[in-house]
Amino acid sequence: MKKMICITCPTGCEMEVLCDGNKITVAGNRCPRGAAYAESEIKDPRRTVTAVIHSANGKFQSVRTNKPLPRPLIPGLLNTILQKVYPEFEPGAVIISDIEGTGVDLIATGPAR
Amino acid sequence: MKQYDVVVIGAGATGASIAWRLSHYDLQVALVDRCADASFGVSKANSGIVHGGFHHSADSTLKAKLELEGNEMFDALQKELDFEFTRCGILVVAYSDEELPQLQKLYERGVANKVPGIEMCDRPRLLELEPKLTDAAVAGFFVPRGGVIEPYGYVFSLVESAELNGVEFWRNFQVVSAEKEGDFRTLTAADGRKVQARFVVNAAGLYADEVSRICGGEEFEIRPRKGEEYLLDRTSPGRPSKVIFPVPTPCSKGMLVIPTAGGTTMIGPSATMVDDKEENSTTQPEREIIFEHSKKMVKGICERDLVAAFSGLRPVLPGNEDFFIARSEKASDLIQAAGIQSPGLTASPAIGVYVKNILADCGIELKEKSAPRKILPPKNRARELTPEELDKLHADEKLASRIICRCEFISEAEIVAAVRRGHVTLDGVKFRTRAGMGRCQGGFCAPKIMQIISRESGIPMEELTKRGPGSELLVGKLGSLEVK
Amino acid sequence: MKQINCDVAVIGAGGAGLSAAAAAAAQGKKVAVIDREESCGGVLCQCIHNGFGLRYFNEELTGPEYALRMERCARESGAEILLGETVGAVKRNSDSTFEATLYSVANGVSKLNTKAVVFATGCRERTRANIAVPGDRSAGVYTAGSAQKLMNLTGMLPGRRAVIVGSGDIGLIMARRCRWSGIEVAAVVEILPEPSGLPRNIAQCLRDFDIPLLLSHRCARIIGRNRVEAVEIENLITKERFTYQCDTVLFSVGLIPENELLKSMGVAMNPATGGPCVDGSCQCALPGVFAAGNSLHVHDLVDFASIEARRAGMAAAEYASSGKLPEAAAVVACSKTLKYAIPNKCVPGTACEFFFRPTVSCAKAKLTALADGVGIAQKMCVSVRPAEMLAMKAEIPANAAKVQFHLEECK
Repeated sequence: MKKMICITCPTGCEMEVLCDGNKITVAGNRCPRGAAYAESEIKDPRRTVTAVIHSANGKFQSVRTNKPLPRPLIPGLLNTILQKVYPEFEPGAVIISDIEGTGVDLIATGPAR
Repeated sequence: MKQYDVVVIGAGATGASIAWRLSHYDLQVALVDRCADASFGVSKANSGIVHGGFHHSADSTLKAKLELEGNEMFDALQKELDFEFTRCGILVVAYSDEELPQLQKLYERGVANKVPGIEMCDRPRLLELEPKLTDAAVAGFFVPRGGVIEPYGYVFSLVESAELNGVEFWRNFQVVSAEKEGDFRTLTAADGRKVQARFVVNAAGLYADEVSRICGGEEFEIRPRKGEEYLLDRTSPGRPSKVIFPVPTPCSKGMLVIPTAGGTTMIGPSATMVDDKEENSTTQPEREIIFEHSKKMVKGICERDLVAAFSGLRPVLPGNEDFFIARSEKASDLIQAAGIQSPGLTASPAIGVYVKNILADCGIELKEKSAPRKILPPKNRARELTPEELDKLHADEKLASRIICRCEFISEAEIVAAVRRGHVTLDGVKFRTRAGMGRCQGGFCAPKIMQIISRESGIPMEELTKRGPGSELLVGKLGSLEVK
Repeated sequence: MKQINCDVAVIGAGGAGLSAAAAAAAQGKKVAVIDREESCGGVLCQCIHNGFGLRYFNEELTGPEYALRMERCARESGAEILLGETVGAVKRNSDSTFEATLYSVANGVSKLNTKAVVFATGCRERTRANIAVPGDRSAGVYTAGSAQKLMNLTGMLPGRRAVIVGSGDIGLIMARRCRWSGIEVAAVVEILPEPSGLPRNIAQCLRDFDIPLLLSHRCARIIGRNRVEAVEIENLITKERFTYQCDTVLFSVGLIPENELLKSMGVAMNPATGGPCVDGSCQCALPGVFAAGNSLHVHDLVDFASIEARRAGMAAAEYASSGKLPEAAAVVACSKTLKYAIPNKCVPGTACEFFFRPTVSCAKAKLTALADGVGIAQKMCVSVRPAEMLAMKAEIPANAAKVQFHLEECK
């Protein structure tokens, strides 16, 4: 049995997760998103990544992944994007699509400033 | 190598005042300081009191004589140099009957020193002068000519005015050797820069002993006596209208409640002998003692209003309660101005004159400059200007109406002016303009101020410091550290 | 001097101000939002992390995205947004309108006249001095928010190894932000026996990175003559002291509503919140003056601030039309288990939403509302903690004089 806090929303349900082979039982979640999170957390933990990248003209632009990214890929993504200088993107524009074949995109969240 | 008639070592209140006084004469003068900016040593943490001349006897001490003279010089100085200064008056208050004999003694000394307007007060009169005194106040005396000053603002103004009138100011110049060759002494800084001087004035504060030794002057030791101060928000109900002194103890004038010239309230200082000349920490026990004492003195003081805590060191010359200001008997080109602790700030304008006269006695020719004196440009403090005045100013100076520090209401133009005058550290800008000195302590404006300093000075952000080398504020740009 | 006239002026273009402006403009009023920064959003601009908008926009957004959405709402409703303008003073004119003095690079000093004014001025962070941490005055001591601003808006790194004091959400978010920027985090130090931030932030910002959370510990001293070299930490239970080597200390030790302008107008303040006393429409004791968002009381989520501000904006629009609002005759009070209830007064015969900050922690508690001693609403609350706001709606009976709230732990 594994204790886990759901990070899907600010409520932060404290869940108890039981793994029996491929069968995962979740208790303590107040909505179905909790069960989905718990399952993902056991099989393939992922996080939404947020960061700031260097833009042209010494500006900075805030970015995020449009979906949670597998945790092991996070440092690599950050080390790559923090070393580069990017052109300015419109908020919402895709900066990197399909990161490492995961289907996750990096998008701009705010204007360059 | 640059040659000067006089090099003043130490850009605190004493050295700045001497250099400023010398800037009136046809002389080549340099002011050097080990720190990144003027006043960063002893003066920065000064309580900012313009003392009333009753603590020491004017017949037997030089310090009382200079204190009384200095006090009277501030009005003219403020008019020319535009620093924060108010003659709010000083009240010395006895909080128990046991203190009355000492209070009487102090009052009589004031009378003997011919302190103008000194007045013995019973409790009703005390409360009339200061309604915020606590119920414990028994009696006291009033010194109407006492006041408060922004110590760093005063020092910066002296230095800037001196610079404008020909004095050269060398920052980060820590004198490590002083070789005498013929008519000149070569002062070498830790980083290898050199200047030459016919006469050296030792106004090096805590390090006056070291400077004297390097120059072959008298052997003495300066010992630091630490004082912690606590600054309360400008809305604190504990702000009195006058400086409130307790009856002093043998080693200190006591812990005060000060309505600072900048509009805040300051309580302290404590007085503890320490061994280390760089020991500037604050401590919990001292804070508790200072709050406890000041709450007994003035109503409305509360820890909740605490905005900043800091400490400073007084340069004590053990065994000599007086200032040591004289031509050295061992090195004839050295003028000593050492052991300048309280009331050094009050005395400083008079010290400037006194040292100038010593230099004249040394044979330096003092010819007043024939060219008219250059006056510092107006400070144009946003917080002091009416909306109409500020709007008018905006026509010529767009940045005058962009407010960067919201707590103290400081404009970008004020910060830019400070940077252009050489104040390129965060503390330098803070002490010069008050930006970042308010209740948020720079929480909102520090990043903006750092950007302005970098833009105006050309110093990259990652090289900016709080108060000089070693106090770098940032370590690099995003991406310069590896994410693990 | 430039003159501007409007019906409703909103001071602050953050999550609350923009929402208030959108609501007021939707009523057809001429609305001006004033902000000192050059872009909308206030502190949201530097909050690049996700976790915003689930309640207001039904979508999880980052701070900049939330700000952009809110800005669009305000603009589409017809509100005018004046950026780069600092409000230096607000005073009430003899005809009960208000005059604000604005300072900017673009326009110098301007005067703005308005019938109603909404203060949405946000909050500031408590500093090292506010919690009286002794020691050296070293470089490398920042509030978590200013470090966040340095990193996210100027792209600079404040240090290499940090200790974070305070486990509020900003501190936790900054712990992860540090790690994702290559800055080590030695520990998060919390004076209370339980964390102050949301459980999900403990999970995703600390546990993900194995950052130690030291509960019932305090930062007793900062060491470092020039730059921070270490902090001394005290275990409040054993009184044991030890040091952590670090070059940076980030303070995340609470927020204080920014109300210097309001205070200067002589508006009655509420010591429990640090904000003004208000009625159910967010109106202060001075008619025509409204407050919403973190300057009224510190919220956990920007969504709640925006929801509250919508109410303030609508009421300000109504006030601008009619010159008065229904009298809030019922006084609000609460039990000791609640630090405060907002609003402080409400209008009998209307529905009103209340926000609370509990003083206690418990797994389950019952929140009850009584009007003149008679129960009018109740609600079960789970995982009650001082760090999380409670909310409840209640119908206030006509002629009610006093509304009393109780929070009781359920065993």
